[in-house]
Amino acid sequence: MNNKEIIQSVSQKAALTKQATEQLLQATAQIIRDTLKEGGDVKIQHFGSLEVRAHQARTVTNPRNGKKTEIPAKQVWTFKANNRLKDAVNPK
Amino acid sequence: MAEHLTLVSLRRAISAKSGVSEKVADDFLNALFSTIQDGLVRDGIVGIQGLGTFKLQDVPARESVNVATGERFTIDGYRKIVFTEGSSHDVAEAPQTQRSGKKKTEDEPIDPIQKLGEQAEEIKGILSELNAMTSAEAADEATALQIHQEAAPEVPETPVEVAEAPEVSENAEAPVTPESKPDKPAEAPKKDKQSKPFNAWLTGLITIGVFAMLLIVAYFVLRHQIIRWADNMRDTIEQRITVPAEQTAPQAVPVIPETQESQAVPENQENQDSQEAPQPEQTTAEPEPVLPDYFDDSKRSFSEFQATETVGQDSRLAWVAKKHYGEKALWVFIFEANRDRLRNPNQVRPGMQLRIPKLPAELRDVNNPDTKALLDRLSNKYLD
Repeated sequence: MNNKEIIQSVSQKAALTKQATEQLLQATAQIIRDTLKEGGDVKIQHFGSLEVRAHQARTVTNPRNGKKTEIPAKQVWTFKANNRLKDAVNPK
Repeated sequence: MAEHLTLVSLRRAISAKSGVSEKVADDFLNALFSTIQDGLVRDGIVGIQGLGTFKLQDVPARESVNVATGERFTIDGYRKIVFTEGSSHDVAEAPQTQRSGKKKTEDEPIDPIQKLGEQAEEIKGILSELNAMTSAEAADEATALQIHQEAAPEVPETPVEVAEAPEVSENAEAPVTPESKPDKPAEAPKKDKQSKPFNAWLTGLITIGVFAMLLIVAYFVLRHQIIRWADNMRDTIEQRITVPAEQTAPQAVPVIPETQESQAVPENQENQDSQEAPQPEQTTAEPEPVLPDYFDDSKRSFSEFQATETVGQDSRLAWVAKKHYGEKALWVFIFEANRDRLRNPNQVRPGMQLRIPKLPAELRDVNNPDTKALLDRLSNKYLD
């Protein structure tokens, strides 16, 4: 599902025009991104949470030639799904 | 610093940013997250522009051991939702890109580039060797070609040699030395041939094939013209053969028709004689009044005609002359009398009307050396 399909679907569900939906979607993405960049987290009820996690620097070995490469420390965005969402994607 | 964004604060932020009511923002957010859920269930992947991608990942079932009881059991496989940040314009800002960027600059490119360089060097060496070998082969083949050409008869040889290289024309006088020649002309075609000797052979073969095809097509298209041309050539050859043949041995055959003709048209001859009688008197003033006017091409004209002949199929001037004068060689006069409709003595078409002029007795006498000379000259003149 891509952005276009999301906008179409959301505009139907929320009874909004597509342009308004697109605008709102962009705003939402911007807000979430900004929050995450500042180190905050986003918790959405019944959906899940987005968090920033710190990864320490580590050394990896290229299995082909045995060369060791340093991977610097970094921050990654992780998503943890709510149980309801988990159940939704894992039908029993 | 740790800011917690919940559904409520998100709703407020959206309404503040976009200027919509919180109710609309709430509806929108509910619709958005239910859509993402639907999309995950349906497609297994949902990409949101400017944020990232939610994706389902299969976690296979695995066996585990109950630590307390030591009992083995299987954990069922399930689908986990992973989120990958970044899409299009976010990539540069996203911290994750630093990792991939560094990996590319440090790890991967150095080795392949070095290896590629080494390989390029090796390939260059091999190529140069190959080139050297092929050039030697090409030179050999060029000499072979030259020898083949010289094995051919001498007549076509010289033009070929001259066309290829002017220096060789000096050697062309001595065709016995094929080894010395090829060296010189080989230098010129070498440059073209050395790189692709096999291509040259192939191209030659293809060219020959194409030419053959063209010739065949041309033959079918121009068949009728060719046949006509061949007929004309045959006529010309036959006439050339017949004219001297009758000049050399005129007495044998024409004696009989000669007499017949003289009997058949005696009055004409007399008339002709009487008409021509005053003319020699005029020419007596000239220093050499030997020949009458009708031996002069410019003065000879035919005003009287004894008959008109319609040309039949496959007829020729010589046959018409034979029919009316009993002498093939006299066709030149018929041709002269019909210059207005005949351009070429060989282009007699069936159905054409030919005027048969009355000839003075002197002109009809093929045994007369003057007449003979005249006929000879005229036939050469009109046939060439």
